[in-house]
Amino acid sequence: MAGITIDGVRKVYPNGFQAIEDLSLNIPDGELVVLVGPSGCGKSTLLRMIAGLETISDGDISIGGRIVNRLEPGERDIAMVFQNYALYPHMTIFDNLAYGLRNRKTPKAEIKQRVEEAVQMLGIAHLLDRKPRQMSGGQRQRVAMGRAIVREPSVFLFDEPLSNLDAKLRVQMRVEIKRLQRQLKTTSVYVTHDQLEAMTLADTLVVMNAGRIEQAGTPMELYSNPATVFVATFIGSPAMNMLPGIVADGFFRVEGDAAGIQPMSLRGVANGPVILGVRPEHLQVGPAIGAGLSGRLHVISSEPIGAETLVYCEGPGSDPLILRAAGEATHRPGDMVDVFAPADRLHLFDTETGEAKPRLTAVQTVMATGPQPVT
Amino acid sequence: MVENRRLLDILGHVLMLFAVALVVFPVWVAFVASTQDPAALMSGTVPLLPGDRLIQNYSEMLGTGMASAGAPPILLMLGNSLIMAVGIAVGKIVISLLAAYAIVYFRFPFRTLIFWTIFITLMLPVEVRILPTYDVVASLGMLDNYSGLILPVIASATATFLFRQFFMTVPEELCEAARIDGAGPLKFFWDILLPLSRTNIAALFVILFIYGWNQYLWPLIVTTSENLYTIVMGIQRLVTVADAEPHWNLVMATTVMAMLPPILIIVLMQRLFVQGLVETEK
Ligand SMILES: Nc1ncnc2c1ncn2[C@@H]1O[C@H](COP(=O)(O)OP(=O)(O)OP(=O)(O)O)[C@@H](O)[C@H]1O
Ligand SMILES: [Mg+2]
Repeated sequence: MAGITIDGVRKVYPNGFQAIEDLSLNIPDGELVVLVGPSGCGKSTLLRMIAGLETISDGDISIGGRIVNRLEPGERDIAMVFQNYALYPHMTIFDNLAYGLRNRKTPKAEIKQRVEEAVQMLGIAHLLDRKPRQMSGGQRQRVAMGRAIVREPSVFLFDEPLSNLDAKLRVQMRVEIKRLQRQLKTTSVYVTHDQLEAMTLADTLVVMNAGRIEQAGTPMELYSNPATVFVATFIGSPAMNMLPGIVADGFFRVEGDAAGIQPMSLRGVANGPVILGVRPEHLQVGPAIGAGLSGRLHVISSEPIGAETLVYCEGPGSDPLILRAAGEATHRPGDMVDVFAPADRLHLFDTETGEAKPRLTAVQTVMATGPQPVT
Repeated sequence: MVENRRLLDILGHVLMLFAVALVVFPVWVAFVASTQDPAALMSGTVPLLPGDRLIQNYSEMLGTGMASAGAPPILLMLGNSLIMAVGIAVGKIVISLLAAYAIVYFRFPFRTLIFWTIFITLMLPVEVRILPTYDVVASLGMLDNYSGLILPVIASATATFLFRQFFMTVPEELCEAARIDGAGPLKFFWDILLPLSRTNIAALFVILFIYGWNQYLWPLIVTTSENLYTIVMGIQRLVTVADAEPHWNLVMATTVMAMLPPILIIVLMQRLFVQGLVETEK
């Protein structure tokens, strides 16, 4: 058992491309950390540096307090599950699982026992004599997991292990991975770009962008308090609605054509441009109750998806404003709806840096008594 | 329509049978000739049915050879050819496997340059290299022994190229998985790459064995002792016997026997590589 410390790590590929810039992250023992981010942001690169499959250009990575920069992958006490499983095609499942142990000169009897335990755990005991090509994708996935488990490493590394499976199997395996990780309490780093996978698996969720960490925290922290516009739009689906606007004279007004959004009283925020974010699930249909953002919007389309209905309304910019309504909601294109989001559900971001400003309180947005601003 | 299809079927089969006959005919003639007595072949018409001297002809050639033509017993020459062909095939495969492994899996300076240098040697015909090679072999004292027969032809750009292409189709993750499983470069090569190359190795072995078996020019140049004559050289010697009609029946018996080992190799190896091809694994 061992935690991982990544300290000021950089990766410059031989062609001069800097994939990771000065990245630091501490992963406590036994925790499951999920790395998410858009394609090409350096998730796999980081994972492969931990594994020892890529050299580290600068900085240190230590596992269990031991700096591993110069160690071969085989000496780092890690196991990795690959996206395409990378099972040895000519070996039976037993041999696939046993290979790593044999290389470590584990006694035969112990290998047998450990392999048997692992296949029991994964429900593939009946497949031991098969070759990888004689199995389904889901079964191969399990074997790949098994190969990691039998080694009893101090760290599991997963690089999009479920992305080759169909949706149903993916959910099933996701639950299974979570269960196994809880049971084995092995420190794990898991790369994915499936949001749902990221949110459900992670003890700590790390959002990466262009070789940097945008934000790290529990999934709910990232959801409730995104530190940047990037994280705000990356976590949550549909993405958070973003309204660029201006703060002046104690009011927030959206930029350009307001499209029915009311100016909002806003105190304690410096004058100037800001971006206001509100999640679709926090934009309710109905009259304003208390302080917050309100408006009357034009419905463009609505998508009932069973438990809820996504309503697309005309927004101030080119993007529609999306709101989540109840499953039975019957908003038609052309309808006008009153919408409202309470103040404590709103997010303010700096237009320049994209960084979040302190969350609003109801007091800041309570309408000052007196004449209403003319729109 | 159905009638038409039948007609086409028949036509197709006739055509194929004809093609097969065309290929088999010379072999048949050789076999028939090897069973005749010498007189039957002098008459000018080639018999099409086997004669009665099968056992006599073959045992004569196998045991005593034909001293008048300067040919040692065939058994000896078959043995020499076998040693040479297996030596060449195995040697070429081992060397090119290692070379391709180095080129694909290791980063070292001038890697690409080295590969292309190897590749370019493909463009040089054997005849161009033969004099300098002879010189080298002679000064190394390898004339007139097996190493002289085998070693100079043991490097193979073709095989290196083929293995390189194959290794490049093996997913990189396999190598990475093996590294994580604690396998060093040699272990990965031995435990994973080699078993995966089985099919390729079998196919190449057949091709290279036949190539080695059919070597003519090189053995002719580096051997002077009768004990090292190969079967292909032997056939040539039997044919160019001075001042007399060649004994065609015996020449043909030798030829038929020279054909057998390659055929045997194909039949034996075929099972291996067809099986390999069917269960494509990777
Ligand atoms: N061997 C390499 N040489 C040069 N650049 C590379 C190399 N491997 C990756 N890169 C670049 O490094 C960046 C990060 O790659 P990486 O594979 O880590 O992305 P990722 O976050 O895993 O993306 P994805 O979600 O698509 O898998 C990419 O821009 C990629 O083009
Ligand atoms: Mg990746």
